[in-house]
Amino acid sequence: MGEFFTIYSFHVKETVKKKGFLYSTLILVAFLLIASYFSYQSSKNPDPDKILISSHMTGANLDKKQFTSVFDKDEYDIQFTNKSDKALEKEVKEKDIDGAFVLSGSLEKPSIQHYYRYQPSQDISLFIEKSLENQVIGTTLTKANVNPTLLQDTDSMFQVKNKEIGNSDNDYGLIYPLIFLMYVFVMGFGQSIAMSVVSEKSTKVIEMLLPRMSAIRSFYAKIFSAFTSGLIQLCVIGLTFFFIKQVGWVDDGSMSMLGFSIQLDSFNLTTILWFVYFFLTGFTLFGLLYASLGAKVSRVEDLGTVLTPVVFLVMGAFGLGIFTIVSPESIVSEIAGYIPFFSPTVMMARILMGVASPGAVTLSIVIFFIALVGMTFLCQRWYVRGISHYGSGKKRKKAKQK
Amino acid sequence: MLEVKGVSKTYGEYQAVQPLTFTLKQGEVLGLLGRNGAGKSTTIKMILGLIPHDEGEILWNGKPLNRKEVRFGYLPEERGLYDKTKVYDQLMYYGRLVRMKKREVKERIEYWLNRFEVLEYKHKLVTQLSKGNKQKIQLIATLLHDPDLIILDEPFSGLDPVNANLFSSVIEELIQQKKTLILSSHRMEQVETFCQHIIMLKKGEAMLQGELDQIKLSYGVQEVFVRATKEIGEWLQVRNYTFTQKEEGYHVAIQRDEEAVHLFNRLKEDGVMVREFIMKEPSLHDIFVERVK
Repeated sequence: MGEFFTIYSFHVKETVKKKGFLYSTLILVAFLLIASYFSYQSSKNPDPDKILISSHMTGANLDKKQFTSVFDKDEYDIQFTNKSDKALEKEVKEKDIDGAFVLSGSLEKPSIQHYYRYQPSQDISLFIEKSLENQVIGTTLTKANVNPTLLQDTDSMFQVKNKEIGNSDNDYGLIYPLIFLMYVFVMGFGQSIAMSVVSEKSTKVIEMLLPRMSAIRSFYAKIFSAFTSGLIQLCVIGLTFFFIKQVGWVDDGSMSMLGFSIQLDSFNLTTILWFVYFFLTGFTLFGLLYASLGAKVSRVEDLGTVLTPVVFLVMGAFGLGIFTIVSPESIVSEIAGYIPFFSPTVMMARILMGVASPGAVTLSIVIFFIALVGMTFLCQRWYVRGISHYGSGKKRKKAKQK
Repeated sequence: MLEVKGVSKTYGEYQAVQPLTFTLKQGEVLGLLGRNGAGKSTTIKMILGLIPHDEGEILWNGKPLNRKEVRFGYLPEERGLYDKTKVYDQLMYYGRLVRMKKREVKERIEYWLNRFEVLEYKHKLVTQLSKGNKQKIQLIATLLHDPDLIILDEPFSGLDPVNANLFSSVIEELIQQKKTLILSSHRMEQVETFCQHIIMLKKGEAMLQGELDQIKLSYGVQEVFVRATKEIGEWLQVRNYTFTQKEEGYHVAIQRDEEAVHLFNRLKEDGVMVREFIMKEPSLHDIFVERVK
């Protein structure tokens, strides 16, 4: 234990003291603070979208009052105008206004143009369509000597009331950041494990070390020191979020970052414990691969090729994790939840979304630990065999055959 | 006592070390010689347990050599230091790995940094040091824990004459302290100074091994240096001697010790006044060149 702790603490200190670690932590903190501050400021005083409506449609009866009673004035500033079709198109194009509707023709033969730059104002479009339809129906009913107020009754009869059982926005805003963090840390610190192994080998430091220490202890100490360094950075990120929450740079418990909403209010102890569990186990599994593959090469420049399969596995875990948020009950997510390399992201997402049964969770954990034991045995062997061998794998294989 | 019994190593078709046997008692020094790729480093790594041997056994005091029971001090040929780590932190790490107490490591670091006159680099990064100073730090890391078996692979490479002398004096101290030492070097004069035993390897095979004095004795005299009061070039030529003229004298090649005595007698008989007559033993360099070329 003493030897393990000596190696472990040396590598933790070395990583934390590195300028790269310090700068990346500072950049992360600065980014979170700046992004959350500006996001909060922009959400506090949003400029309403300026929409102009030009109505030349014969028989159409639309006025500003109808719109202001329906739409939030913080969201839309709707004005009526007599400007021409071309003038409005130009104004939208030149960013003077956010959108414009030009109504022409007649109720029997209507023409409605909607000008916008990137996103159409669907809700206003629907409102205009619905209002005009009601007017047409009203006129038709009047012509047929039917009381037009009956139209209101028919309109309210078939309204679907949406009631979401799961909270998809909440799930996305909660799980996506966790999966993203896991992906970034496994990638970043996994690479640093492999780099540390291969640089000890290429500088021959390993030849000085191996007569003094056990290769196996060094193998595990490196993985756990990288994990600790990652955890330190995660804690700093956590504290930053705590600070952001304390100073009130959050809007209704959520924080918008790069157009993406993070639900800070949804973080609770269960979520954190599941995340730490999956982060630890996932990191260990991928760390084993990174360390053992790092020992297979003799030069830092050869590392890229040998790590490519692991990078694909990590990317796969990330992609499937995101897919699970969108489609948690799909067969792909269900199966991926049992595959050890993918279960840290997929099963975590399924658990936090409440779609994984206790049986499925248990089975996934059992499969994962069996795979972890197998991988530990295999990676340890690769590491011990590779660490003091120099030259190509082909040569080693040839030597082994002999 | 280190005993290496029939130890060999093969990589595929290539036999890196053919069965090698030698014994090294406590306090003795072995010189491991050979050209690049002769199998010196492989032999050293097998002793250190860095690579497994295919055949044979390695014993320390009669028992199979166990890394946990023997304190190794190994100086690799290439630098074995973390470039981005401070000298003190690095030495502390190496010391702590062999279960030395923090205070003890601290004292030993101070002692050795002073001994090698590099105390001012204690808190510098290794990358900021010169090649010679890096070599000093590496030797400190090798000796910090007072090892039982010291293996130095090319300890003098990259050193200026002053530092080479400093290294020599430290090695002499280790010999006086009765440390068991294996020295691998291309610098024959250094090996000749320190080693009682030598092994010359060529393509993994021990071409020559034994006590250095005995080896030199078995080679006998191969050259005689003669300085006389007059020119004797013509005299030597007439009598079919092979010679070269330099250093105001003649270097005459001979096959056996008796030939030297015979030459001296003939010169005396012909009335040549001999001022200097030296029977020269072959140097280790000469033996090395002859056996492993």
